[in-house]
Amino acid sequence: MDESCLDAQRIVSETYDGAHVDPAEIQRARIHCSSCGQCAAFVSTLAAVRRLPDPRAPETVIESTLAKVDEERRRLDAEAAAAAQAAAEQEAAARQADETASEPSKNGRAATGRLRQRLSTLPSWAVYGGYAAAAAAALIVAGIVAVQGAKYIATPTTESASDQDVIYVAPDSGATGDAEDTRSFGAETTGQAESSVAYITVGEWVYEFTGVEDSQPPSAEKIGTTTSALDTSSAPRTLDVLAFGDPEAVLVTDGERFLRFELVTRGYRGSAYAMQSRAVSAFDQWPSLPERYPEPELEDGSPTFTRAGADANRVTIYTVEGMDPIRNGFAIAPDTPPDDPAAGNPNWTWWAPLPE
Amino acid sequence: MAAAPRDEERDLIARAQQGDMGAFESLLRAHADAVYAHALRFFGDPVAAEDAVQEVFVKLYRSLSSFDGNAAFSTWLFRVTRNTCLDMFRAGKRRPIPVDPIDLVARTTPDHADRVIDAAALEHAMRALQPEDREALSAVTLFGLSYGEAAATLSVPVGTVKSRVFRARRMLASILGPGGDA
Repeated sequence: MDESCLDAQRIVSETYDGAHVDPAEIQRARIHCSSCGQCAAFVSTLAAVRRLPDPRAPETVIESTLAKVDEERRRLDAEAAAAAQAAAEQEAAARQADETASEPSKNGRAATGRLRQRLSTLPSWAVYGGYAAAAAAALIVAGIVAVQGAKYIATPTTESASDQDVIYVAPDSGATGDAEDTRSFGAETTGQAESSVAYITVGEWVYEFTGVEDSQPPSAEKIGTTTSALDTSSAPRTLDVLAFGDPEAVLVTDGERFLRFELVTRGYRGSAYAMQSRAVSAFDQWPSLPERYPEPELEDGSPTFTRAGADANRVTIYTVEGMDPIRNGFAIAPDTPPDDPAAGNPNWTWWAPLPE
Repeated sequence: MAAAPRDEERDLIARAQQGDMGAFESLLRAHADAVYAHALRFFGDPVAAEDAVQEVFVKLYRSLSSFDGNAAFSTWLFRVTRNTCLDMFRAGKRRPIPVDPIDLVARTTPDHADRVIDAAALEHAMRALQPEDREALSAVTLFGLSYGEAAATLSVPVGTVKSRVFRARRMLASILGPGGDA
């Protein structure tokens, strides 16, 4: 091999890499290689090497890497959330000062200063704490229901909840009671899973059972209807929905009984959001995504959602690509922590800002 | 390198910087092969290569917000990949598996007349290259860097990159070609 061989091979190499090479030099190299066996072999080997595929990362490597990155994301989110929490609390305190006691009701249910004030001063999950008394009362009777296998709807009565023989049961997932042993937890079928809490939907808004009113409040006013089976053995039926002065709650009645339901809410970045779902018409059915959002295919929310951050309790917030979660709402994945408003729900849920 | 076109890649980077994990996954999938191939040729060990891929993309995720787009993404990716492999080596986490020359002979086809080279033979030959030559070849062929970009990343003159790439190719031809050592 002489200098001309080295030159020819160098030109071939540089040409392979897309470098600018004088066309005259390329021509000289071509002529040389056509008459030099050694350089022809070099070109031939290079071409053979070039045809071979480079090593490819196995799918298992990609999956394990994605898992590592997700782990890192969660760690960074947690750090960011911790740092943001102090700022959010300051903001919440400022909002609390600004909020008035309540805002005019819109169709009997609207966001109120009171709700926002409450959300701004408590962790989002703490809203549930307010339901404890009603749920506990229901649970006492739930035990009776479980033993007797009775229906969950009482016969018409004007007696208080604790005096009834049987009652609409809505066991609070955070409470204790024998009734819980008789119910199905953790089912995983989307939209069909049995919930540990009883829900209805009014429009797309999700309300949770919180207790029974003794009688129709004087201010009660019909604002719509909902279709629901109020127990596990009845078919869904149309029930009147009444507003009664508490913009966070409604009464559902068949004309004789008055069951109180409250919006399921959570806080995010100092604002209040309420759960929305496609119709929940079966007793013990978990809320799921509204019809407009297809169920995600993967745990990361794709292809429906993308990750948008995390709330103060480190629950991941998902959104539709290009959508602002603060203004437009967000999705929450299943398997939230036990103190989350969506705890126990095996479905993805959607949370919309409360209307002003 | 099966990377996305530049415009599409810029869009993916911008979205990933805004927290779109789907976009980050697309970037990862587009570039994982190059990172894996570089690490595999560096260490000669698939397990070490997997560790390197994980570490590279975790680093990228952490520092994605600092990527301003002035340089090509692939240049940045190559730098991170190279440094990660070197760091893993220096930290003693992973060490390149030595190449046995006998393997080079055994893995190339005896029928030189057909010039059939299989991927395994190529990978063994790659491992026989001088590290700096293999690194330059990797920058240019796996990551698609120009000689200038590779030179800037490796902190050497452009001519040095050209020489290293050429030397690597001659060595490969010597091992794999009909007139070669094998």
